Order: sequence, then structure tokens, then C-alpha cells
Amino acid sequence: MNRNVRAHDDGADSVQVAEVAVTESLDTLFRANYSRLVRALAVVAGNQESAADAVQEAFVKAHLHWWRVKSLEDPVGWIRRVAINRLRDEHRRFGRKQAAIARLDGLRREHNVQSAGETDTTALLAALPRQQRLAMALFYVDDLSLDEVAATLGISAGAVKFHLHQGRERLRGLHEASGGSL
Amino acid sequence: MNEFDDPELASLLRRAGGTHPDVNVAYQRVLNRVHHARRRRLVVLGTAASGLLLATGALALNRIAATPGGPGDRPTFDASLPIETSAAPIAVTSSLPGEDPPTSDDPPTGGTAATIGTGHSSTTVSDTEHDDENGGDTSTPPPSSATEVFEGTGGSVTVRLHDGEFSLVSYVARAGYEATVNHSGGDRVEVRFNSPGHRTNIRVDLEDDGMEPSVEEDDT
Repeated sequence: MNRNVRAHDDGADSVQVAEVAVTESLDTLFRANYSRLVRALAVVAGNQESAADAVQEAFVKAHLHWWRVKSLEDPVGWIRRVAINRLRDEHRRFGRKQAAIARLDGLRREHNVQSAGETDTTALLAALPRQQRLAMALFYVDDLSLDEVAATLGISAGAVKFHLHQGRERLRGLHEASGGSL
Repeated sequence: MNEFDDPELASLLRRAGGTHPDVNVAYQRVLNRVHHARRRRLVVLGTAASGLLLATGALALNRIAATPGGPGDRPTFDASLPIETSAAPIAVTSSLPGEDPPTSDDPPTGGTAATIGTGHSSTTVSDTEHDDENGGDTSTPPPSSATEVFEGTGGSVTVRLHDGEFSLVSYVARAGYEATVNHSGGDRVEVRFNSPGHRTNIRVDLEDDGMEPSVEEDDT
């Protein structure tokens, strides 16, 4: 932050001033939303590294196209959607890679998150369909409203309610089956 | 109060989301990525601009060369190519007495134009002379079209080479000679000039996409 302010003081040209403005706007946006976005998407991805990578990449894109993103009604919503799409792409790539490895090895592998031996909750979440996980993560962790979740996922509010209901019931059932309570 | 509000589930999911990540480190990573992305973009743009500049330059050079009166029409440019006028290269060299052949390896008697043009003995145009017609540079690609005149005692033959094929443009028999066309195109042109006491056979073969002439003079 200080570095940017110094750049503003030293450089008199307009390009540098514009650059500082972009950096400061994104800096504010980043600090206000990064942690929440990463934790919400970590629920979907099954690990925080992938989620952090996706969110960072979304902010990089926002930085590169800031002149367009800043004029949007909800820049954070745009960043969230970009991060979700990236996570989706990565998940598909990973799935294809795992399938190829399984074919080569002649082995039937368990779901990647379960085989990774991660926490119980993560393993239980991994058993949920992706759309249910996304809806729950955005609603319960990212604190979005039903309408905001619907807009982010491009589905109706009714569909979001369905996914939340189904997800909650299924997670409760899985949790109880594993010996816990919810 | 929403029907889906569930503090216990929210807490469980937040725990599954992990601890709060280091925002400062993450932001620095984002800035580094932006820096790298911009550099990549600059490299791509620079490469594209260089390619465009080179292409434009090449196009401009081609246009200048094709302009009438431009560098493409200079006599020096033609000198490196086979003579495409009606004047035979042999006749040109014969009109300059005492001029040395372009290459020092040429035999002093073989393939001189004076011998071909005036002599009555059997004479064959040598390879070296043919090379001289192309400026002695064997690496120069053959032209797509060329017309040459070959002379003998009995007459002359004008041959055109176009797209790797010969065509007999014309032949002129001297007084007392009678011309017989044996081959008039394709990969060979051969015309024989016969008189009661002398015979001239002019043959041009296609070799390495160039003309390989042979002029034979025989007393009968």
C-alpha cells in the first residue's frame, strides 16, 4: 500500500496515477473479500490451495480488465463467478487426469477428496453433488442471500432453495451415519 | 429469519473452509501474477508487431522492385540472368574481340562464339559457356522463362524455355541450306540445316531446368 502511495508522489505522469488508482481500488476490494471467498470456495474444492489459486486468478483478471470490471454493478460478484468457473475447469481437468491415471493403472480409485484422507467434514461434503456444495458454501460461508446465490450460479431462487434443502438433509444423514450429529 | 438459517451447519462449513488465509501474502502474489501477465502480453504484442513490420517491409520492397523504372528494371539486374532478347549470347561475346571469358577455368578454344558463328568444323557449345550466360553462378535459380538464339553455319534457331518446357520460336536457314525440324518442343529442340557440302545440327536439351545447347558442324 505504501509502495503505491510513494509511486503516486514520485511519478507525475497520468499513467502512473491511473495505475495507483487501480491498485488501491483492488487492494480495498481484495482485503474486504479475499478471505471470505477463499473459505467459501475451499468448501467446494475440498482444499484451500485450489480455492486460493482460483480466487487469486480471478483478482488478476479483474486487475487486467479493471476499466471494465469497475463499471459493473457488482465487481465482487464478477470476481466470484470467475473464480467459480476456474475452479470448475480445474476440477474437470483433475477429473480427466485422475480417470486417465486410473485407466493406466487399471485401478478403481476412490473419490479424490476421500482418498486424500482429509477431514471428515470435507469428506462428507465431497459426497454431495457439486451444485449443492456450491449453494451451501455461498449461502453459509460467503453469507450471500438466496437471490445472490441464484444470480451467482445462474439458477432460480427456487432451485437454490432445493439445493440447500437437499444438501442439508444429505449432509445431516451422512454426518449421523458417520457417528456425529448435526 | 430465513428457513435455511442454521448456525450449526454454518459453523461446520466455515470450519471446513479452513483458517483465514494471509491476505498480504496473497495480495502480493496477485500483483506478481499481474506483472507476469502484463509481460507475457507485451512479449506477444511485440512479436506480433515485429512480424507485421517485417511483412510490411517485404511487401514494400516487392512493390518497389515491380515498379517500372525501379530497381527491378536496372540493366545490372538483367545481366545476372540469361539474355532474353533476340540477340544470342554467343553473338554478344563474339563482338568483343580479346575479351576474356568470365572464368579462368574456361578452355581457350572451347565454346567461343567466334568459332561457332564462323567456323565450319564441328563445334559444341560447352558447359562453361552456358554457365557464363548465367553469370557463372550455378546457385542462381533458373528463370521461369527465357528465349535464346543459337547460331551455326547453316542457320540459326530461336528457342524459348518456359515453365520447364522448350518451344521452337523460329529458325532461319542461310542461303543454300535446307532446314529440317527434328524436335520442336518438350525437353528438346533440334533443327538440322543441310547443304550439298555441309551440315549444321543445332540441338538444345533441357538439363537441370536450363538450356544445354549443342551445335555440330559437319562437312559432308
